[in-house]
Amino acid sequence: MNVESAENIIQSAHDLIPANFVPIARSNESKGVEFVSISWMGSLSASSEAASLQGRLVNLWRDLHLGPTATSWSDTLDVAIPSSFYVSGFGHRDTQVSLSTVNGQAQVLSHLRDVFEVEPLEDGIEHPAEEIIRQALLDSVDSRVLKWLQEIALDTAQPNLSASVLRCLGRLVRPGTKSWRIGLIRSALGKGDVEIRDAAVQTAESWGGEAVRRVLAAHDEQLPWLRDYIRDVVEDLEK
Amino acid sequence: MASGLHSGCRRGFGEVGMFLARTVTRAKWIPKSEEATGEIPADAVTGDLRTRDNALSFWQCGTGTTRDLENAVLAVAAGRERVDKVEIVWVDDQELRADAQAMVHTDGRTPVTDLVGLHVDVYHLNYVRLGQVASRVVTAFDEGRYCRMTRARVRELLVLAVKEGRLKADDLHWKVRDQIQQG
Repeated sequence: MNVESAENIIQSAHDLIPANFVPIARSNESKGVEFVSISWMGSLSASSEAASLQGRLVNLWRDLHLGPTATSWSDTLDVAIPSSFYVSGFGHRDTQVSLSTVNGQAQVLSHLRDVFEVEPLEDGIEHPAEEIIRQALLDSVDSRVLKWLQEIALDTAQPNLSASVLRCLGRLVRPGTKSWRIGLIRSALGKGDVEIRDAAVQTAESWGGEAVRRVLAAHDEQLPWLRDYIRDVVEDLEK
Repeated sequence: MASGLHSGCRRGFGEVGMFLARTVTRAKWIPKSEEATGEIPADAVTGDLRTRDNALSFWQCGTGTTRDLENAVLAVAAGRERVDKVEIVWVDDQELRADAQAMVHTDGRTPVTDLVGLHVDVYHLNYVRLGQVASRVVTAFDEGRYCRMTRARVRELLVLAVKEGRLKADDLHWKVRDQIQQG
């Protein structure tokens, strides 16, 4: 989803907001996580107005997610519906409506980044990121989920995150198709960053299989310790 | 090469000494740029040398024989939630003493009963002393005191330990138990 799309959504919501409301805060981040959020402040003189406003926003949300123009999962929007409205006195502004749009892909990436910052991935220890990835794959009917997981796993600009995601994929029971898995390992082995190459070998070790073994055996690794590990894994996979 | 160890586990030492082993992630210790050669990446320290109550956990591994190293790997692997590769580095305890590091035996958290007493805490760590530990880890890498055991080999160690009665399957995490009981 691009920022322009998010802007269009914001405008659609804005059209529903009463005229006496004014925007009070706006955030437009793009650290690899595309989201736009905006809040409005105004006053509502009756609870029925608050209920009506909430209903219109819920309808907007429903149309975005389920309507005929709803886009695929990777463009799914999350619209934050305010859970309560404050009914104010005349002229007193204390009713706030907030709305944010978040790219589903970016949201999962953000979640993964957050959980890895709190707790690094360690050998032998379960990690919350595994469930995030597992759920993302289960929730989506869109094959692009695998594509952008692959993009994250091969991103040399953030090798620690990429290696962690790749290793988590390795902990799943053979996600995607065989060709997808082989392609991911082959691509990761070709990266200049040692963390990603190391993660590729670990993932290959987890997935196993003859095709994986061949990919490992064909790789020409320059680092001696990693080359030794590859040789050991190939030996294990031959058994 | 001593039996039981893959070619990936090189001992690389000659003198008799007492070593202390700790798990590491070798890839974190590789500098990311040529300009940083000889430097220790921050992720290696913050990722691999995470202290708790200003202490780091180690396992005695005697003189670094094959059996000693396998015991250290076993102690670690048996206490985990899943069977995974194990990477260890072993530092010379004389080097740690030369750095005036404080060390004490504490009961290790492992279900392998005969290994519980091999656990050592290096404690009272601070910014300087932690950096010294990191330097000793780098020395260990340079001298070949690093081993990575594949998941298959770790599983073999666990299965053998259960067969020898050193470890009760019921004391393992259920996922580890499942993984070693599978064919």
